[in-house]
Amino acid sequence: MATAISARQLAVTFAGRRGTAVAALQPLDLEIARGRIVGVLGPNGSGKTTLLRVLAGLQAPTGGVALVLDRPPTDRALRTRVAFQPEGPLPLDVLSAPEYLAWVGAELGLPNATSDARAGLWLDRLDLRSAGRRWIRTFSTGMQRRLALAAALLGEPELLLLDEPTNGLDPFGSEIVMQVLRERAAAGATVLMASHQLLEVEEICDEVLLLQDGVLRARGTLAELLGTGAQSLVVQGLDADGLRRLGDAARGLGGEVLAVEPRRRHLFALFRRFAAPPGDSRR
Amino acid sequence: MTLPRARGPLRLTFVRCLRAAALPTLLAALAGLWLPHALATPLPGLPSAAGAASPWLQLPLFVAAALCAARAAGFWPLFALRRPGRDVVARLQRGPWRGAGAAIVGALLAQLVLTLPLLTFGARLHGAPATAARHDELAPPPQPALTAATPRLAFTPPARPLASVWLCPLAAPPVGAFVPTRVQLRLDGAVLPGAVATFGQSFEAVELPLPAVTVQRLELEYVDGSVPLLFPRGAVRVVAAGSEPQAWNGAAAAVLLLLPTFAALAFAYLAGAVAALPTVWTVAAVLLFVQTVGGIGPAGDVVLALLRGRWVWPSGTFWHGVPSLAAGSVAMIGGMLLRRGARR
Repeated sequence: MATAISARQLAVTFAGRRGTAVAALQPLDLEIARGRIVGVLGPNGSGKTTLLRVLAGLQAPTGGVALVLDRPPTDRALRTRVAFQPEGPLPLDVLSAPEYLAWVGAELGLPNATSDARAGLWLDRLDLRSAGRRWIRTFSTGMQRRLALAAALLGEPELLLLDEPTNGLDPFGSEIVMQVLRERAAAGATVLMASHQLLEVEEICDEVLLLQDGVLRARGTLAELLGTGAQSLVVQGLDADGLRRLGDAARGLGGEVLAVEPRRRHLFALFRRFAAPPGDSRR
Repeated sequence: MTLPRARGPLRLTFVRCLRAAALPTLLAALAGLWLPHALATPLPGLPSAAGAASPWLQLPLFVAAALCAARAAGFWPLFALRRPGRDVVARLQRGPWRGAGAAIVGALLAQLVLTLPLLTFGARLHGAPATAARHDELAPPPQPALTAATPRLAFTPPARPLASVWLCPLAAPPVGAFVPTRVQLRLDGAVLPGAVATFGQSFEAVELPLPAVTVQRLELEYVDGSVPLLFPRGAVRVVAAGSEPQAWNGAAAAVLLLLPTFAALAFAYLAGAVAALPTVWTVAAVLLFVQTVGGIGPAGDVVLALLRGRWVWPSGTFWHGVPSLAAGSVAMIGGMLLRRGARR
């Protein structure tokens, strides 16, 4: 399978106070195949953002080499093939959402008609049309995140580098974003996303990188990292005696009962029921 | 009809600067027209001097320049450290200045749009004449002293009919008893009857009318007196006989007044490589203030020349803008190199 990102002994060290050196990223080796959604997890200061900035060509590594779509990250040709969505507020916050996307489209070299058509598509898809001509600085955090994603998707990039893409989004917003990312991956794009939203990462990512203090502590598919070999069976309509007999049957077949607990609905189902407007299909 | 959407940094900044500065500039212009009348003390019998209104014309010009500069520096994220979305802009934007150069041009164009009416129609309201005349400073001879020992100084005027000559020498201490020195004007070797000026101290300015003919050699001849006179560059200025349209003069002045703003924004960009927005704004404001109100740079001379009907393009006034242009260009290159170094 073709490689989207590869790194050999990639390291970043920042100069600290009084001449001390702070290793933001300790030498790491990395290989990410195209078309995968990969989550980067780790506590604050673990090097997630630094890794994304290096791959986006915004931070020069102090050691090792990285290749993004078989080119050095600083290669200007990657400007259109790789999208980077940093954490935090958007620039040019006195523009409206359509103006902002028009600027991004122009910088990506898209023809105006193409840029406007794609912008309209993503404004609708990411539920931003209602913002109209309002300045970005008046947007909620969630709206800014969605607009940032729209900007990242405008050039139909082959690689998306996303820093906290669902941070500050409401559950509907998160659901839309995750759906969009799945679609992009299905279309062949690679997604590398740093996140603290563990449930979302678990739901969407094919692979996970776990960073701590700039060191890659673990990596692998979710099955590799989380798999226990256990499987669950959900039953309904049995009383305590019925459950006990079912457990006995399982043990008789050589299995082991690990837990018996009542099944709840997800909180999201409840949120959807109350927060979606009447008539909305999401209810 | 809808205007095409602004997409690049130049047009985006232009629109934002125009929006931010238009109303305050208009209000400052109105204040500049009303305040001189409200505050003036009438002096019966004295004619009003057009140049006296220059501070009131400079007020809206300064407001327009300051607001355009502040808006541009605040709008474009790469002007300062720690601005939201710097990474996005740095990654997307092309060119050596990553859009900051285009943003500066956008701000300057907005300033031009705002100041052009002020310096054409507005200047007339402040008493500027309807036409302008070319003024040329004559290059002095190597020894520009006019004394009894060196009784003649020769100058080469431009090859066009002249209307008058302005003399404004420096005076040295008198040799012996104080007697003001008289100077006779000669054109192509011939004495010009009645063209005699008397100087007793420095910076006395005397205008001598000339026949509207082309002159190849203009000489100053010592007649008598005990005050040695020095005629360095700027001390002898000839006024051309023809007149130029004042509207073009205003346009030239508006272009020249962009240079202080360019220099201010360029140094703000340089400072922004290592400083946050408040510092960047301070640098821009201080430099703009120094170059306009402070009198360093072309702003004061340009406005004064315009109101007095002196053609500013190209002239000595025009060349006063060159240091601002040169310093600004160096600052832009420095800012670019500093940012490049920071990325490594």
